[in-house]
Amino acid sequence: MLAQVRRGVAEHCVLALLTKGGKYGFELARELGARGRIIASEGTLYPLLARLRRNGLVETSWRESNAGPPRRYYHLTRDGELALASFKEQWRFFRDAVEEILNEGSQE
Amino acid sequence: MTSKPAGEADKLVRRYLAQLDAALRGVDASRRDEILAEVHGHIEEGRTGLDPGDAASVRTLLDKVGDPLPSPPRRAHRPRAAAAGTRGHRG
Repeated sequence: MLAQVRRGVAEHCVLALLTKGGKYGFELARELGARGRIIASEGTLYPLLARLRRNGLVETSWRESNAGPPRRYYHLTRDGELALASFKEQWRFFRDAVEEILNEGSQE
Repeated sequence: MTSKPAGEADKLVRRYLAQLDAALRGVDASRRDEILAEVHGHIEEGRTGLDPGDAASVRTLLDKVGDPLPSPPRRAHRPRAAAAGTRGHRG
């Protein structure tokens, strides 16, 4: 069950990282990998991105790169924006409820 | 010129991608191709700026890429979880 929660959280973190503009896989992987095991390893990002694309929450475009091979950029769709907004609300409600319970539990 | 031959480093990448391909059996073909292409692109991106023969850095890179698949859904035991994974997004 926790694996599913983490996957849902990871998907919405990817959406959040795309709010300011398109990014390519490698940079997303590095950004996510740097922060507290949101994804288990960089490779797990790619099935996740494929799922987001299949569900219409992101779309992709290709851009040439000076540094190496052409890069596939991921962008939020309108559905992705809506999904992210909905998640933020649900997550914050959930997070605050858990915090409250944990804080109650640690009081004398 | 101190570049090392690319042999071992390239072999590590080819072997990794072959393992990934095998691990993706059971995923439908277009998704499999997409994931394989993206992971290959990720690896090549990571290798830009590295000496093509630098096998040690490639090993480090591949360690970070890790196993791209979480444990596969066990359809026989958790049909609901597997089905949920294939449904459209709700949220």
